[in-house]
Parts: sequence; structure tokens; C-alpha cells
Amino acid sequence: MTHASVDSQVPDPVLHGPDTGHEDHAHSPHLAHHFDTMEQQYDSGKLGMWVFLATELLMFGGLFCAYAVYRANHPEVFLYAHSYLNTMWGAINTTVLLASSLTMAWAVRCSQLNQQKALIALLLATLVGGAGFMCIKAIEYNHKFQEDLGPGRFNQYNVDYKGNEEYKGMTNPEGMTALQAQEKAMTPHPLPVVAPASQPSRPGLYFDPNSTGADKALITPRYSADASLSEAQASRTADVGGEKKPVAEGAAADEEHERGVQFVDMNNNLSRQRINTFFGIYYCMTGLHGVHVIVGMSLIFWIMWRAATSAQRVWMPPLPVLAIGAYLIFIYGISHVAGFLYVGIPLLILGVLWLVLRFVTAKRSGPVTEGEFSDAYFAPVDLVGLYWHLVDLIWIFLFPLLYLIHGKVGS
Amino acid sequence: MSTVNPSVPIRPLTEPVVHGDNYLNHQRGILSWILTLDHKRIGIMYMIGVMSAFALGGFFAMMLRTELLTPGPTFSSNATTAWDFYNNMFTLHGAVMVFLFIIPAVPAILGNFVMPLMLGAKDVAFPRLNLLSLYCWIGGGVFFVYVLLSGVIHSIMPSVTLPGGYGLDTGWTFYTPYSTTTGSSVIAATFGAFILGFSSILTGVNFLATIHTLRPKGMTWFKMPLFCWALYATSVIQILATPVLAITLLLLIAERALGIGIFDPHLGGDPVLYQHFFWFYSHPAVYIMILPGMGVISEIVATFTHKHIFGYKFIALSSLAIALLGFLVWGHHMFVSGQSSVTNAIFSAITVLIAIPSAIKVFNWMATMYGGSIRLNTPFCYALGFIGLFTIGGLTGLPLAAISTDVHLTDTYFVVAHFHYVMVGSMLFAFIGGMYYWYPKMFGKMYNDKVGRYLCLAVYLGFNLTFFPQFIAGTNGMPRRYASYPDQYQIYHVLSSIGAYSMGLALVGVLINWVSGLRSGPVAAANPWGANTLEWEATSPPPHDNFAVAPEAGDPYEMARWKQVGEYEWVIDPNYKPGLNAHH
Repeated sequence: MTHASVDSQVPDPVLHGPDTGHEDHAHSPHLAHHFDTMEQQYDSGKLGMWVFLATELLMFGGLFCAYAVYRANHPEVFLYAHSYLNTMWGAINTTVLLASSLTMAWAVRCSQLNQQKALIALLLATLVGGAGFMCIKAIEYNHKFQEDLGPGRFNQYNVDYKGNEEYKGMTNPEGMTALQAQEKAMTPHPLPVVAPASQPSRPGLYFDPNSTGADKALITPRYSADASLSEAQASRTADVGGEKKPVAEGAAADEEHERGVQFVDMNNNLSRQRINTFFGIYYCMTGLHGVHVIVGMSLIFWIMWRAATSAQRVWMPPLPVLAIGAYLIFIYGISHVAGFLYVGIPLLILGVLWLVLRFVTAKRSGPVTEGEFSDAYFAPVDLVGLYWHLVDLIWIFLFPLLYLIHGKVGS
Repeated sequence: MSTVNPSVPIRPLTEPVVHGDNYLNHQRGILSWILTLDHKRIGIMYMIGVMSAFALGGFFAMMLRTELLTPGPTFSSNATTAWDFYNNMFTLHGAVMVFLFIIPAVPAILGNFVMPLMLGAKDVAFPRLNLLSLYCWIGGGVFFVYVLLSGVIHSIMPSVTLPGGYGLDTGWTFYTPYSTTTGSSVIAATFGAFILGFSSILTGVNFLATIHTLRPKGMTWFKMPLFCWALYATSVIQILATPVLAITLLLLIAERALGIGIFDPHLGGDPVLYQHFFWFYSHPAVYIMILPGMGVISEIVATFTHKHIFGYKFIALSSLAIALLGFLVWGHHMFVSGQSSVTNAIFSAITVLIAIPSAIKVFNWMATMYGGSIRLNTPFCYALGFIGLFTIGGLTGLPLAAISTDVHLTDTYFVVAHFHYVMVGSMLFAFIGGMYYWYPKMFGKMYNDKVGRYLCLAVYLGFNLTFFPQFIAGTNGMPRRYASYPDQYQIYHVLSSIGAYSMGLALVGVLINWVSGLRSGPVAAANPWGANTLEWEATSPPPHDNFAVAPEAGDPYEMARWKQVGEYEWVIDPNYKPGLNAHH
């Protein structure tokens, strides 16, 4: 054997000449030399990918386990806090990912049937689906950050949140004593207000913002009728006994969903720390999933590159730069945080310039090499498809667990 | 059963092969090593890294044992500084030894080098993934080096501020809420461990696929060498358990960086949940550590008793049993964490069950030795050490599995001694024994076997002097991770520290033994030991592609196929006829 690498592609006949070093034994150029047959290589790759998917399941499994433990122990927290999530966007995301799984599976079939153009088109469609998912994710996250419902210390329910000076005393003995004294002084515990059954609109979750706050360790959302309400918060109100009162975001955003929920925190179990934990779990699960979507999109782009003809490859490399630039500008558009613009615009310009450069310098003549995949060799498309399906599957579990929580009254 | 197939060319095994074309000189230049896809080169690079990590972890051990020589502060006149330093030393010792040394050692070095050869294959199933695993190991190591350097910088120049903190003082277990609130560089260390986890996971994926799909014709599952069975069981654990560690460490990093409140009660979290997550990985992890070692011992015992291994199927299946049972017992690290008595009882009962497959192996090795033709070469000395010390380590696990005794012994030196008997007395001995066993194959040279045997005795004595007194100290109540203690415990600590220094010196001797073998040892034959697994049919050292033609697989323990022609030289016996002594 004269070549060092074990997996050699078809060498460029223009650069390397006709001698590929394979004259003594004929086999597919895609067969790695430590395998005896293409079938063995394919089986090995398939097994490896399924085993890797098992490891991904176990990694997410830890998060699902944390979810299960906290929800089992504090169902009222999940019931309450999940209403901050926007079910509509979540459902659209689910549909988008399912559609992208369809196009991915179809792409695998196309590669098996030598349908090169359809393969490229479907891979592109899958990428568009993934990009759509990330855009909706950006909208959702942006909503939350603007409501001070970010992860960890960016969350209004976190005791370390910058605005919650009075809650920092939770580990401070003096602060705790003061809180306990307040609670003792309060009899009986005021219960949150529940909409009467005759309420025509907006039955759901809301709390009396004017409660005397004796249950400060428990839930008092920052919906007080003063100037500190953000515009978005102030605009969301509901009729309670004829008065307009501010409501939790989820209730206002998704009337259909909230209609069935009547909530009474009879044991005053809702603690702000636990709500913070719900959001922590939410961001960890959806965030890790988002990372996997990005990884999946990168893998699909790599497969698209390999499947592309040399003519198509002319315009491919600038695409990720363009896409990231556009994505950052989109985030700026919804969040108005200047930083995204400062990074997004240069990337967009760079991408456009690069694209123009590639068009201008592309060879107009010469042999056009075909894409790599055919009915004889489609394993990479297959395996990347498996990965993308797992990413989709994880979201299928995340969506109902996080967005579609219904529970018993007054647990 | 296979006969010697005359159409399979077997190189004349007496020609000097070191200067022939082998994997070491196949291509030259640093890039040919850094970008190699050759499993043998990857194994050698792992060896250099992992042994350096061992030296680093050993250095930390020497430091902490020196601190423990006296009850008062040793490394600083200021007691607080000395105790902080001690916390850093035992944490870094544990973390470096566990994550950088003992988990990768046998699979990444010996498994990478030997397993494809044992299967008559040209490489592992995914060579590029193998290289990625190596890069992940190096990347993780870089983070630990950073943690170490941050501690060093801080102690020399306390006014320098580093983002993320200095050193690591949480214990290798990173229990919350201390790890979420301490000022040490927990994020760097846990991120390093996270990357190392991927090295382990990808190696597991690779080995599992290799064993499933690259076995040669004729090598059915139950004709596979036991080292491969051990690596297979290890791979199953690596694949299923390590991702849980990955997510646990990610959550810990998120907790520290963002304050998300999963584990910290101040933020609404549950610290016992952390312990469950952590031990769900870390208990199977100890089986990742020991199973490959047991595979090495199976090979060594069979070879140096020149006998077919006794109870092959039992040993093979007991590896799987240990792997699977190991997932069910993590709660025995948490008997005093406040979990319910029912939970404690269930974990205790299943923990005791794991003794059964472990004992099956020990009895099978002993039965193999009975009536065998024993040669006391260095690898076999280490194997004997393993069997005795593993028995002690395993038996001392039983008082820890039984709750009534565990509540007194938990977090004492008894636990420390128990796990060092299984991790050092067993696993390190298996690793060193395996290195000595496959040394001639890897380097084409022989070491001085007599010196090796004396060094084995020195390591053995040093080890026992270090850790046996710790059993007694523990039963007398000496807690673990304490830098200071009442005077009555000093004698145990002094004995232990003297043992530690002796063992350290002996291990340096082992390194010198290996290096001098490389420099001035005699050329090794292809099969110095008379073993029958397929790697011994390749030359020493093997060529780049392992075998010119794939060897034909038969019974891996059919030693009678070979006849001895020199002290460390065996060749295929052309007159051997199977059937008379064929063993199923």
C-alpha cells in the first residue's frame, strides 16, 4: 500500500493523473482500506451511528430525569410556570421540524435512487426547516428575555436577579427572619384570585398584584400597577370582576390553551425559587436541543457539499456566512440589541462579497464533477439523516413536556 | 479447529524486524503522527499522554501524603493556606487520576494498540473517530493543566486575578452546593472532564462497532479473546454511562455560570439530585476502569500458565454481567445522604450481587493456574498481584455495601483504602502487567525481565505499606479528605506516606526499566511468550497494515500450536495436529 490515508476519495484526474494506486485491486473509491466490502463498511457505519444516537439519548435523558423529578415533586410550579411559554410558536416549531424530517428522509431516498437534483433540493429544504426552527426559537427566547424571564440570574424569579434586592436575604439569616416574621403576622394566607366561571374572556392564571406581599417567598410576579411595568406587561390585562388586571404572559398569549386551566395555589407551594428552576430546566433542555439543531444543520450542509456538482459548489461556501449574518440581523430586528447588528452586517457583507468573488472567479469551462452519492454509496446521507431524525424526535418529546402541561386543580 | 494454513504466509519469525518497515518508521515527521489514522500510533500517543498524567497525579499524591505526615500544617506556616493547598492536592490527585489516567489507560493504550491486531483487522472501525478521541483527551487535559496552572499562579502571585477562580478544591466528586459556590476554577475543570467524557464515549462507539463488524471469518463471539470481551463490556458502559456525566457537568457549569438553580438549594435546587446524577455515571465508571484490566489478566494468566483459560464462557459473560449490574447500584455512594431505607436496602442488595461475577472471574483464573505450566515472568507477577489485591479490595467492598457497617465506615479512610486496592492494587497492576506483556509487540524490544520482577515486588510492598494501614485508620475513625487529625492516627499516616514514597520510587524504576529496554534491550521475537491470540502472529513491532494477509482465526487459547525455540521466542509448530488437545 502506498497511500497513507485509509479512506481515499476519487483523486482529481487533472491533478493526479490516471494512476490512483488502485490498479492492483478494483473497488469502490469510497471503500476504506480496513474494510473488506462496502457492505461491511455500511453496516459498521450504521451501527456506529445508532450507538452514537443512544449516547445522545442518554445525555438528554439526564435532563428529562431532572424534569421528571422536579415536576413530580412540584407539579404546581410546572403548571403555573409553563403558561409563560407560547404554545403557538412551540407547535409551529414542531411542525417545521417534522416537515424537515420528511424532507431529510426523502433526500436519503433520492440519494439511493440517483436523483441528484432532488437530493440537493431536499437537503436545502431541510436546512430551511432548521433555519426556520432557529428563527422561531429566537423569537421565543427574545420574548422571554424582554420579560425578564431569562435563564438563571436573568430571571425575575431568581433570588440573585438584579432587581430582587429583597430576596437576596434568602440565605441571609436576618433577611430570613424578617420574612418569617412577616409570614407569621399574616393570617389567613391570601389566595390568588381565580376567575369566576362566568367570566367571558380570559379565564386563567392571574394574581392579585396588590396583595400585601406577606408571602414574598411565594409568588408575587412583578406585575404591579406602577411605572416599573414594561410596556408588554402593561398591555396584557384581563377582566377580573369588571376590573382590568395584568395577567401572566402565557394566559394572554394563548387563550385557547388557558381556557381549561383553573389554578388555585391552596398550599402556597409556588415558590419563586422553584419557578426559577423550571426556567432553568426549560433553557437547558431547549438550549441543548438548539445546539444539536445547529450541529445537525452543519452536518446537512456538509452532505450537501459532498452531493453537489462542482458547478453547484461554486456558490456554496459563502452560504453559511450569509445565513449567520442574516440570522443575527433578524435577531436584531426582533430584539433591537445593537450588538447583533454590529456582527451581523459585516458577516452579511462578507458573505455577499465572497459569493460575488466566487462567481467571478469560477471556471466557466472544464469538466463538471458529479456529486459523490449514488445508489452505490449513500451511507453518509443516511447517517446524517438518522442524526437529524433524532434531533426532531427529541423536540417531539420536549414540546408536550414543556408546553402542554395540564394538571389537577390545587395540588 | 484450524490447522496451520500453508497458504497464509507467516513471516520467518527469527529475522530482525525492528529495522524493517513497521508502524514506527512507516512515515516520518511530526505531522504523520499528529494526523495519523493508525490505531497503533494513536495508542502510543495516548500512552505518552496518559503516563504523563499518571506522573502528575502521582506528584499530587506525594504532596498530600507529605502534608499528612504530621497533624499540623506542613506546606505553609499559615494553617488555612496549608489546608487549602491540601484540598487542592487531593482534588487534583483524584480528578487527574480518574479522568486523565485510569479511565483511558487500558482501553485507549492497550485496547487501541492490541485489539485490532487481536481481531486480525487492519484498524478499528472508525479510524478518524479514534483520532478525534485522542484530540478530545488532549483537549480535556489542557483544561486540567490550566486549572493546575491557575492554582500555581495564585499561590505565587496572589494579587493576580484570573477569571473563573484558582485551583480546584471541591473533591473530584464536585458535590454541590460547595462546587457551585466555591471560588476555585470549577468551570474549567468540569469542562475539561466534559471533553474527556467525549474521548471515552467515542472510543466506546469505535470499539463496539469494531468488535461487531471487524471480527475475522471463523471468529465467532465465543472464539474471541477475553480481552476483546472485556473491551466490549467496557464499551457498553462507556456508551451508556458517560453521557450522563456529560449532562451533569454541563448542568453544573450552567449552575455556576448562570445560576439556574437545579442543584443549589439557595436557588431552589436539590443537592442530592446532583449526587444521583453524578454517581449514576461514576459508579459504572469504576467498571470502565476495572473490566479492561480483568481482560488483560485473563490473557496474561492463560499465556503464562500455557493453558487454555478455564471457564471461558463464564469469564466472558461475567464481564457483561458486571457491566449491566454496575448500572443498578449507584446509590451505595449515597447511603447517608438522607435517602429512604427502602432505597438503601435495594442498592445494598444489588451491590452485594456484583461480588458474584467478580468472584467467578477470580476463581476461573485460579482454576486456570491449577495444573498449568507456570512461568513467573514480569507480566505474570503483576497478574498474581492483581488477583490477591483485587480479592482484598473486593472483600472490603462488602462492609461498605452493608448499610449497618457503612454508616460507620463511610467517608473514612476505609473507603479510601478500599478503592485504592481496586484502582491501584488491581487496575494499575493490570495496566503495568499489560504494558509489560505487550511491550515486545509494541516496541520490538525486550526489557530486563529479572529487574522487572524485582520492581514488581517493590511496587507490591510499597502499595501495601501505603494502603493497608489506611484500613485500620478508617475503622478507627480517621475521616477522609482531612488535612489534620488527632495524634493517635499519626502512626497510620506515617506508615502510609513512607509506603507512598517507596511505591513512587518503585514506579519510577518501572519507567526506567521500560526506557532502558527501548534503548538497549535485545530485539524481540514476534511471539516471546507463546500466546496464541492473533497479535502474536504479526511481527514485533507490527507493520503499518498489521498483517499482509488476514490471519485465520481459531481458538485463541490453543497454546499447543506454538513451540518454544528460545527463552523469549516461540514459533508455529509445523507438526502440531489439533484434535488431540483441542479444547472447546
